[in-house]
Amino acid sequence: MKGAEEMFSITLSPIDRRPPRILVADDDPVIRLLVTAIIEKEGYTPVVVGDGREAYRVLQSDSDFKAAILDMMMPHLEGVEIIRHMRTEKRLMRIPVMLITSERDHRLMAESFAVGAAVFLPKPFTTGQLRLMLRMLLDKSEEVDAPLRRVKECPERLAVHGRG
Amino acid sequence: MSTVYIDVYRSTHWELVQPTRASVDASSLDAINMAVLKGFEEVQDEGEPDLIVELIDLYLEDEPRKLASMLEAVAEADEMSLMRAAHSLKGSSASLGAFGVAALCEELEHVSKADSFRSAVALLNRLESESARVRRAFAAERRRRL
Repeated sequence: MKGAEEMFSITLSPIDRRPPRILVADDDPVIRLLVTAIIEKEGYTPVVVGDGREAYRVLQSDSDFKAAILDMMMPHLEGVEIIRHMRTEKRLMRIPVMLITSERDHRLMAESFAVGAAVFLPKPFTTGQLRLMLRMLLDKSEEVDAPLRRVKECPERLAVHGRG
Repeated sequence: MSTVYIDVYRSTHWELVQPTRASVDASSLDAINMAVLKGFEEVQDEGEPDLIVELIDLYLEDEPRKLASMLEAVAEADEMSLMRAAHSLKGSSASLGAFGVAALCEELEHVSKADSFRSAVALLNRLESESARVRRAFAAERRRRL
C-alpha cells in the first residue's frame, strides 16, 4: 500500500503570478523611459517598442497585455491605426488603450476615441497624471474581466488530486 | 469603451504648463523648469541608476539629431519632416521641463511651405541658442547628481 504522501499530491493550479504586462509604444526614448519607470513602479511589466510597426508586430503574436499605452503620432503606424487593428481582432479587443498626445487636435482625438481609445494622456505629464490615467484605464477593463480576476486573485487555490 | 475621460485632463496642470502658441520670447524663459525634473524622483528605485540622469542623457543624445533633421527639412523645403521633428522635440522637451525649446518647436511645427519657410530660419536660429542653454543646464544638473 502506498503512503499517504503518495496517495495524494497537492499542486498549485496554474495561477499566473507574473506582474501584468503593458505594451508601451513611443518613438521618443525620453518618453519611453518615463512611461516605463512609472508603470514599473506601479507593479507592471512594460513591453516596450519604438514605433507603430513594431507594436503591430508584437500584437500579431502576443495578446497577453493588461493595457496598451501608445503614442498618438509615431513613425510608420500611428496610434489610431493600431487601435483600429486591435478592435478588429477578438483576442486584442479587450485590451484597453491609452493614447499619449501632445496634440490638441480634437478631430484626431475624436477619431481615436471613436475607434476605441479609452483615455488620453497629454504631454507633458506628471507621474501622478500617468498613474491616474492608468488606474482609470484598468478600472474600465476590470469591469469586463471581473469574474476572471476573482479566480486569479484567490490567494491559495489548491487543487487536490486523489490517486490510486 | 463607452466612458469619456477627456474631461479629466482639463483638470490637470496641462493648461498651466503648456507652452503658448503665440510668439514666445525664449530668452525670457528659464531654460529648464527643475520642478518638472524633480517630480520624477518619486519613481526612482533605490539602488538603481539615477532616473533623471538617464532621462537627461537620452535627451542630450536625441536632441541634436532632431535639430539636425529640422535644419535638413528646411533646407529641402520638406514640410512634413519639419513638422514631425519639431513635434517630437516639443514632446520630449516639454516632458523634461525645457518649455522654451518646446514653445519654439511648436511654432516650427506650424511653419508651412506657404510662407516659403521664411519664418523657419529665424525660428531655427532661436531654437539653436535656446537648445544650447538647455544643454548647459542639463549638463550642470547631471554633474550635480553624479
